[in-house]
Amino acid sequence: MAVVSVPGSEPWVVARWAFRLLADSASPLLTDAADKYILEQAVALDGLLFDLLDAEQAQRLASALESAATDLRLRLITGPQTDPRDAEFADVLAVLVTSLHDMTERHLEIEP
Amino acid sequence: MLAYRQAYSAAMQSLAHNGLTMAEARAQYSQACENAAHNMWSQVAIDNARATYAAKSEQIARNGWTRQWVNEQILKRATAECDYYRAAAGLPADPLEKQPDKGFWGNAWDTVTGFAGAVKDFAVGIYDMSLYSLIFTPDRFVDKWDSMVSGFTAGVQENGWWAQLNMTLNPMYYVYEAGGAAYDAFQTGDWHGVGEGIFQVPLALAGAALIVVPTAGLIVNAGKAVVARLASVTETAALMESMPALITEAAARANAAQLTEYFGGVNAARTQIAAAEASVAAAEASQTGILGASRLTAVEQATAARLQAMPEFAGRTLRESPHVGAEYIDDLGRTYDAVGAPAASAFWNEQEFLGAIERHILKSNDFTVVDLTGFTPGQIAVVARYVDSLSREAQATIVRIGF
Repeated sequence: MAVVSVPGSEPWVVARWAFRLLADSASPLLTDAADKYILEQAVALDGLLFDLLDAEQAQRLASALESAATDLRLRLITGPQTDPRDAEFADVLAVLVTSLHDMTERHLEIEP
Repeated sequence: MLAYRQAYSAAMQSLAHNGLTMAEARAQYSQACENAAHNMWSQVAIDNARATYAAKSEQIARNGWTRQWVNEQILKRATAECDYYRAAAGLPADPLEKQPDKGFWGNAWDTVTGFAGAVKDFAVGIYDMSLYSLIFTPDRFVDKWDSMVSGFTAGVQENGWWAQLNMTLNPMYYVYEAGGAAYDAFQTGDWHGVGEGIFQVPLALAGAALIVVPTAGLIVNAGKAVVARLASVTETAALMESMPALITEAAARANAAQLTEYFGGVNAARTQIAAAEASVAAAEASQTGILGASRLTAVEQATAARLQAMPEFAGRTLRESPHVGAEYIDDLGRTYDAVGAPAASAFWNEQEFLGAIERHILKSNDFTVVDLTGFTPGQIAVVARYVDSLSREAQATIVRIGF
């Protein structure tokens, strides 16, 4: 299992295969090598805890994950339904997108 | 007595070797002993001195100064020994002089005592040289070795290095000495000496055999080895001559190219075999985990296999979870999360890994399987301390693997 912990939200916990799909989609959206490393580390350690990252890096990763989760969700919904877990995964991705979006919004509000 | 006879025999032979006939040597020796027994100022001594001077002049003329000087040194030493033994045993100066016959029983008794004395002398000699003597009678030990070293040194001065080494190390010399003494004793009717010889001659022969036989064996084997080596060299030379002329450079390059091509193919085949073996191993690993799983990696299959091997889960059948919220589910409908993979050890971040475990536990799956296989001892200790610090209820949901 892998967990994504977004401050202010319930931990988002999914099977490893699901988190790998999300991370593989998000990685190309990251340009900073340190950000890519954090994502690889998260896959290896079964967890991405945003409260352990500095604010700027957390924002970059949240933005990339939010975009990747949105795209992935769309693909899962519109693609061929060969596995019932895909629909379930699309539902939980919506929860993650909401959590990440809220965090990004809060950050923007704090920014001067 | 043996020492006396040995000294006498050695002196006679040395003198004969230095230009005297055996009869002259014997006569001079007797005369020297007589001289030593008389007051040097007596008329006899003066007469003897004159006779000796005359004889010596004649000998010097015949042998030269060098040999004469050596003869005198030998006589000087032999005379001293002669005095000592004659005074001690009352024997005639010339040991080759016929002994008085004591009759059968007297001779037999002399033989027995001679034998027993030789045995005793041998035993005492061995004892004096031994470590036992060094510990319990160190004075005798020192005397023995001192006399041996002194005797050897004097022998070197008298006979030269090679002759003395031969007399000391050559086992056949001892046979010769003991045999000669025994023969002289028998000739002169010295049954005591015969008794000594009965013990000493076989002893010397046995010692010689013990040294000569193995030495001969070594020499023979060494000779065989040399012959074999020479034969090998000859064979190799013949083989070299029979070989065809050296191949040309072009042919050598062609052969090298062929070999390179061959080994390149072998290495490629090895790589393919290794890849095939890895595939087989991966397939076997997947077979040992959950059959038919479509989204589990080899690491997750390995964790499933370890889980199934645990006694508390014996008999349970695991399958891939049909939901996105768990990895495995068993035949009782219990769900399992898996945490921990070899990659986690490489990307180690204590806070993040422990945080992930904490958040897994908060989730409602039945079990969280923490698999630390391949982690370092330090990492395992950290995780173990953390899990031990959790509540009893939380610990009950954690399955420990590789701790």
